Amino acid sequence: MSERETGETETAPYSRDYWDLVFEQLSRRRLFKLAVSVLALLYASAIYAPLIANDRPYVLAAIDYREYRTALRTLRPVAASLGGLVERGREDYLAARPADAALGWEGALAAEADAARLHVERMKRYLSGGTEQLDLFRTKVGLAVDAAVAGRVQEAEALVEEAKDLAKALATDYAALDPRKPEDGGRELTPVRSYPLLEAVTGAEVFFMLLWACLLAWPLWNGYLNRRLLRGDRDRIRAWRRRKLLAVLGLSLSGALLWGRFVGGEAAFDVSPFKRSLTGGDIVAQRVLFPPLAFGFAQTSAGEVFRPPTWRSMSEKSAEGHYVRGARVPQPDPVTGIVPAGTPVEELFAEPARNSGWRHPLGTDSVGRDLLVRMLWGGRVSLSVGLVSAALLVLIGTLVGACAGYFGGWVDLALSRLIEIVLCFPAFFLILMVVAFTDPNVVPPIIAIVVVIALVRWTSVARLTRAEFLRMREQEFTLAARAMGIPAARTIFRHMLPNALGPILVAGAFSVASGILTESALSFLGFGVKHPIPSWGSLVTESSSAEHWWIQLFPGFAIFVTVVCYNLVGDAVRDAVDPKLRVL
Amino acid sequence: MNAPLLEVEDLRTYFRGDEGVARAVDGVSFELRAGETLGLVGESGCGKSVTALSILRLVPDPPGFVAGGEIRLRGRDLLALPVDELRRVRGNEIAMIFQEPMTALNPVFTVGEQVAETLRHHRGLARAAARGRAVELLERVGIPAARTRVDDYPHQLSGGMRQRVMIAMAMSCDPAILIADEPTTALDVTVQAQILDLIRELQQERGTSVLLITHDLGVVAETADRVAVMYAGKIVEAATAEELFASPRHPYTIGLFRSLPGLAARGERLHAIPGTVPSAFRFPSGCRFRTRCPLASEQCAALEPPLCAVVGSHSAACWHAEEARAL
Repeated sequence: MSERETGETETAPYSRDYWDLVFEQLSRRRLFKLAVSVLALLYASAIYAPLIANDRPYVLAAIDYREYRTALRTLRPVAASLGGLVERGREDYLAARPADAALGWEGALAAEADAARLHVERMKRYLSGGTEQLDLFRTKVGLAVDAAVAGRVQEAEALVEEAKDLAKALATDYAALDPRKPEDGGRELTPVRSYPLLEAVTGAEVFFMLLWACLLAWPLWNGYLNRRLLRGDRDRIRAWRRRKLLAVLGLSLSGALLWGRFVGGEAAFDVSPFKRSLTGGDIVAQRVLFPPLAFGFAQTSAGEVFRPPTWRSMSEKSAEGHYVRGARVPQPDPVTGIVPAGTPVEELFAEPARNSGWRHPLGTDSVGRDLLVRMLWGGRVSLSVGLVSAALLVLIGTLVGACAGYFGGWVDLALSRLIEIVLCFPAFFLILMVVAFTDPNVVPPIIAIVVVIALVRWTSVARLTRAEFLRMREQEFTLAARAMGIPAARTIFRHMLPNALGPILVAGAFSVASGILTESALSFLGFGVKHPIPSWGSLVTESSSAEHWWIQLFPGFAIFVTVVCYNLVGDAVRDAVDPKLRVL
Repeated sequence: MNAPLLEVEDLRTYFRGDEGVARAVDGVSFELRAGETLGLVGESGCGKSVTALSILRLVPDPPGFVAGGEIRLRGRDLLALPVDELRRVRGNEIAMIFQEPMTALNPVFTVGEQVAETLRHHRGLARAAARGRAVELLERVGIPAARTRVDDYPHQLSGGMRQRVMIAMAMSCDPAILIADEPTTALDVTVQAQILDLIRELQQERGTSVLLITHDLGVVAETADRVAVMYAGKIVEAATAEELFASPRHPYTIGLFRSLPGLAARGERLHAIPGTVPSAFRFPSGCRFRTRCPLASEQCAALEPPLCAVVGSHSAACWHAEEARAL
């Protein structure tokens, strides 16, 4: 009856396709939504870690007195060493140098000219006018080098002398006005604007940041696009699904390429000097903006070794660097009665106050690095290792399992024996061995870990896939596909694989979890990422003492939450992609 | 009549098993002419389905293998065809529909996608064109509201509807031959008749030859032009449908007819052929039916009867074909 009725309507009502149904199923599960939200946040925190937790400011409009003074002070040595080069001449210079030295005499001269140019440029950035003398110095040095190269020794020597005199005069003429001692006089400098944090962001990071931003904002722009541009036309929305994905990928990729081209960010693992210089007054900032967590993941603090989370009262420290409460309060020596000297907490620019609850919300580690910041950065390693190794092992396992199950016969025999052989190895020790024997300078340990996890752990996915394919091989739709002349590869991947997707996806989700755990275990044993880059597993290893409970609790909790969320997602996806459970 | 479209000659398909080799199909020959319907009848396990699968080389290997014979489609030997050429034959020149419409459709694709895929694959149609054609085909096989049903998944359709979709898939590329392997066995009786009518209609419309495999003599009587009766991997009798139903000559065929409920008088016990089908691993010597045959003689045990003409195109493989008329 209902068939008749729908048959009579002129415009065909929209009937949902596979992914509509899958998404609908998923959206009904509250736990799934919760798990996905938590994972999205975890990934966001890892991807945006450089923007959230960094010891470089986003914007810095400041005068760097140290840079200016260093440049000014270097002008005389430059002129002097140029004079030395001219005086010795090419032959003497070459005779005195080792034969394999990179620079020849001309090269050395050019290097001096470059140095002069560089320092003058650096100084000119801070000067709003009156730079004629500096330009004259640079011109003289350039002319002297030209004359020396051309062989006009006397002319060159005369020019060098002039440059030396000029440099001497410049040292007093161009001295900077010290804001702390304005009575000394000097030139007033203008602030220079720079973006130290953004300059340390690489193109690859920008790619993931853009990608994640697009994906997190998907509900917003997707709704608008469907309503306005596609006017709610279901067929067009369906047709546009792939285009939207490609657009997001293309946008992120082109953004990353442009960033790499014009900003040219380079990953920075060092501790940046900005906070210390700002504190010491070497840099005087007119405008400065630090990220919410103004600590670098490698920034140590001698006064805060194993400091408990700062919102706890037991974490309070006196100005002398002593704990005020609890078991950590220093006791006077029973014999001499001397209280050991404490290390005062150093409060750098932009950092929360010594006893602020926000200073180290999750405590610090063995060298006083902020644990929260290290967890944010450590998530990048742990989460990506889990995801990439799972993707890789699902790929291998599915291919092997599908071939074994579909072709059967000797192919199955060979592949099944292969699976059994790989299964025989104690996986963790194999991983340990491979990582131990991999040269970290040739293959980064992180890549070695990912590859080895995938190469050892694919067997469970392969066996699952094989079993599914063996079952399906007996079903008539496989026979029907072959009877319709569909090629084997298409039969395997288009017709059979989607039917096996449920168990494979669940196994995949579980492998993400086990990948994270494996990486943690490896890092725990010291085979993981290189110091000082953190990963959740290596954070746990910082201390094994119950006294430092925050060290084990917080990174361990992050691992636990991620693993649980992946398991919940795997569970929900298994139910949703199962065609038999699909409801109209 | 014109030259045969499909010739099967001395086909032997065996299966390796624990007890040796099972001769599931052992020397079957028949031919199929353009536009005709050939019914292949027999009990379960007599080798009908394996014959059908052998034609498209779909017998699972291992354990099955074709031990001998030739299958010629318009003179081309299908058994010697390279795999990629064979793929062009499958679905395009010879299509097949299966017994279980419940499992013969892929549960994760809409029926439209499944019909369209064959078209896209063999005819190279674009996605939209293939979809349009799929809707037409679904309409043609009598699916109501085909334009919406095209996006349905198999589990949303009834058994009869699924079998119609199977037929639409099979007929999508206008094959010369349609192999229907028990197309109505899993369906309700009322739906059975509709499906058979549909196959017959399409056959007349497009001039397709049909190889109808069934154990149901009623279906054969209704649909087939010629009938071949199989027993234990061999064809034991072949004739036009009228001829066979009027005067069967093989004791096995006669036994089959007598066990039909309609022919027995009301209240009488149904006739049953005594004994069971012999195992394909150990056939009896000589005539394979002799252990269950009322006319069995010493000659039957010694020599295997060849399939030879009785009257005109009617042939039977029995030493006692003349005496059998009296049964």
